[in-house]
Amino acid sequence: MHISEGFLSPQAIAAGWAISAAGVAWGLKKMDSGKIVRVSMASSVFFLASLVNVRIGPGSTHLSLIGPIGLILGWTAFPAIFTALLLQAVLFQFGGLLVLGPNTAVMAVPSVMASLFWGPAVRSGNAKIAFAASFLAGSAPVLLGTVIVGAFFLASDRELAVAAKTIFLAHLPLAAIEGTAALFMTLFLRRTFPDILRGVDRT
Amino acid sequence: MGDMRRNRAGSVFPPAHTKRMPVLFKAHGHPQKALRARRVPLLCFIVSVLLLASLGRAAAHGVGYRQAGKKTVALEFYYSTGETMAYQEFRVYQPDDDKNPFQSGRTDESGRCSFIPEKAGTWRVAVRDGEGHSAEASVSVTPEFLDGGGDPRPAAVSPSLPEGTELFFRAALGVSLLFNIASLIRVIKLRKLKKLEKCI
Repeated sequence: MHISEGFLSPQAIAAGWAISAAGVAWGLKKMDSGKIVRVSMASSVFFLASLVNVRIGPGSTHLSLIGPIGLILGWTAFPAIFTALLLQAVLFQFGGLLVLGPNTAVMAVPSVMASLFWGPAVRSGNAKIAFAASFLAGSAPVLLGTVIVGAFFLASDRELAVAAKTIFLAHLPLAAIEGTAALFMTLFLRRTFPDILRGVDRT
Repeated sequence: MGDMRRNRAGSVFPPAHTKRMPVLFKAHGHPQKALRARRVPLLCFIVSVLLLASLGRAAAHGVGYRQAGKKTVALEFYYSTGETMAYQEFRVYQPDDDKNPFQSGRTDESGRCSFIPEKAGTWRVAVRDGEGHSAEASVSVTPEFLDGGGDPRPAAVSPSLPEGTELFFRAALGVSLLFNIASLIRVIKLRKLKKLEKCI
């Protein structure tokens, strides 16, 4: 889901940087410094997950786990994902430094959305609702991320509309995989460490 | 006599033995005009024949091939995951012209493309897939290379995802940096808190 350098127009890049700058600033403000180890843990998981390739048909993609990260971090997902993406760009040449802002928006916005929309249901006492919400919290952010990629593409060049559709369709299997991963993860965390699903934002 | 007319000399025109021809061009007035009108289809026929003949000559241009006998720059493009960028669009830009591609096409099954540079300088090869990935290589071509000598693999290419131990070390470095950055943020936040406490 990383956007490479050279695809986006200066306006789209500026919009991406504006969104991510606002998100990072708000995330840092909301971050509970007592839970910063959780932030670095979740950021590390995101950083390493991109190295796990998932073969889909003739191509392959990699895990992102932005849904579970959003559930654990809440608004702090913005600075966590921004830092991890920066290191991915420098160490592995994923994405690029110029498009770091748009890439942060692509992955952090769905991550925070997962926390805001599915978080309460994931923590609910009703197990069935919690499981369904966990799956959706894992899969929906992947698809939302591809929609945001498409929006950036369309804002840059109308001819990239085909690419946007392809990206969305190509990520449908990954959404199912991430949904299942999120389901098992929240199952485990609900039993062992339910407090972690409350996020790290200051209340 | 129907539509037959008499000219100024009194002779019948057209002659009585002449068969009626389909009227392609209606001629009014002077009989010479009518004659000219009858020549028009003939002229059209001649021009058509000449045109067809000239087309035939054009189609008959021979084609052939020969070995280029020039040194080729061949590049291989791949994703950072190690997969090749097979059958993706590529464009080659010559030095001092970033707008008009010198060559364009698609990579082969192995993600390879090649071109024959015609002048020394830095050539740029850009490959884009339909999913938001792009790779760009800069190839510096020397005059020696153009003369058939020099480095057979001129300059290039973008770094790829490291493998094995290097990948492990880079991943470990990344995780370590993430924890260090988090620690730094914690220290900054704690200092701010202490300052606030002192103020209170």
